[in-house]
Amino acid sequence: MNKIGLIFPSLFFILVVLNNFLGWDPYGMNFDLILKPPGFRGFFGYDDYGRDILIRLINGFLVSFEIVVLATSISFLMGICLGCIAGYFRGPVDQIITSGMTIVQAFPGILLIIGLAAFLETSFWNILFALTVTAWIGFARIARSQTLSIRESDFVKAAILMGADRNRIIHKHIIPNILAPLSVELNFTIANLIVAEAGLAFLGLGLSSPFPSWGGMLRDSIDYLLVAPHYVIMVSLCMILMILSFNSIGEGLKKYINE
Amino acid sequence: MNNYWLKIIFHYIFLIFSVYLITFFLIRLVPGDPIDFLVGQSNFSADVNQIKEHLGLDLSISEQVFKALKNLFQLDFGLSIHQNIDVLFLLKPALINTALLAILSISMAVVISIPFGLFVSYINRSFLNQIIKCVNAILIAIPSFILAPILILFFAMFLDLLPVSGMEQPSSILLPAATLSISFIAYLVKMTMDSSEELKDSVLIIAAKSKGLNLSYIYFTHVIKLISLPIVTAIGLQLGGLLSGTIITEMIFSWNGIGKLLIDSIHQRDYPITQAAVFFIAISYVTINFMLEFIYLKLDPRIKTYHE
Repeated sequence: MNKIGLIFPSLFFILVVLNNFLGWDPYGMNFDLILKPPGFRGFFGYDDYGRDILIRLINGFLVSFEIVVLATSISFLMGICLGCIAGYFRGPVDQIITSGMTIVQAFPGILLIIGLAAFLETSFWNILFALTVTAWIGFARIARSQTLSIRESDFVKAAILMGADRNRIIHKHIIPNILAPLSVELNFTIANLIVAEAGLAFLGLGLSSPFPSWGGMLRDSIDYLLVAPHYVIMVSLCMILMILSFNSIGEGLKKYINE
Repeated sequence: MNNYWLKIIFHYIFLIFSVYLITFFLIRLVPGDPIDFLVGQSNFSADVNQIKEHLGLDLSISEQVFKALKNLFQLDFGLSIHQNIDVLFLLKPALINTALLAILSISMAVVISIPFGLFVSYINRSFLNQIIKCVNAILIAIPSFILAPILILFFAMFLDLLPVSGMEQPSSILLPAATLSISFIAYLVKMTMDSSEELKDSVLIIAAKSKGLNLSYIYFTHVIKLISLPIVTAIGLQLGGLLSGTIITEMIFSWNGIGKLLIDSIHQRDYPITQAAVFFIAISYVTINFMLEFIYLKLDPRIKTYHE
């Protein structure tokens, strides 16, 4: 059942690749088609400047997803490194890393991301930075708790007895064993970051306006809620499906790993 | 016992200070000189010096930290740059409005979801359970900025029952509160269903059944007590999502809470307000978590012995 989650993202990826070859124009305005509801020309209808909503969604997805995937992978690596170090060495090192984690966690939800985005210049790298600062915590927490328990297991003790050094134990024994729960977290983080990035754009703190982005499109569409409900419906449908897909991939992985 | 509380209180104070220092130094992230950014075209040195003094940027870093800590103890968060009034004066009504919204949405969620979740697991029809689980998954994942337009479209436009936004009428709190509580309701229903399902085969329930107690009586007196701890945890964890969820929800419904104050101040580049708003949201989150520790102890005294 959870395989359904793969359909929508892969469909979108195919569209992104097609877009790359065919070069659909997300900025092409057509004033005859302003706010035209979905039909044979333009399956998703047109927005307030007569631009094709589907094409803008595809292009917006490309930019958002680039940020989200980069932020997720950087925080994945950061989380693994810091979590393993904290869990393996314990003591003062662990305390420093854990208190760093609790400080970041004192800012609920996307508050720290908003705070950082407010003071930084809005650019690709700064949004990436703001998202990464909060996203590594999830990975580090799991990596740390898993490392703490694996470190006490018999096979690690056996490896120590056989004279394996720290590097070998961490690389050959600990990291392969914590990858499974972390890969589950990976999908949930992607879903969360899609929401966070769209939220930033929605609040006007994301990449600037002519650039298509899902959050920005949603904000624009709310102005036309009464006149053209198809705009808001199409954009939010896409976003909900994408978030649900990544969540269900995560759930599926979790079930698969636990079995 | 003392050791346990000392640890928690020390942790709390440490968090307040570090959150304060982080929000204090956020202004240093502004590219280049924040003053140039604020003054813009009118580059009079008198203006520049005044704003610099106003923000305390004319001092060295160590002096700035010292001054910031002194201000924290005096509860002095500076003056708003644009309106030139005390930031706390602006924050107070905003905090009250947000608290109103948060409390209403949480109590709505608790009142609706826990009886509903218990009822569903009491009837226990697998078909119904499947449907509810599916709907729950969708409602939990849906972000507030998607839910809000849907609710507006349906209740304010289509049915014409509630006001679209603003806070003139008392009924205008309903839509933002519903936006905040719907995914929370779904989450709590999921929690109640999962934890009562786990309890279903426990010795406790079997013993109660064998005493001849009514099944509905068991559910609404025994089970509800046993699942209260994970539910309180869920409320605590979800409050984080709720507090940041209010930022976007308040913007959509133009509800004059702390989230709207925060975003408006960001767009106006009124840095003292932004700093104070970020600080207060984070602090209320930390404080709520701190208070949860007390509630845990009341609900489950085993925690204390575990820590000792």
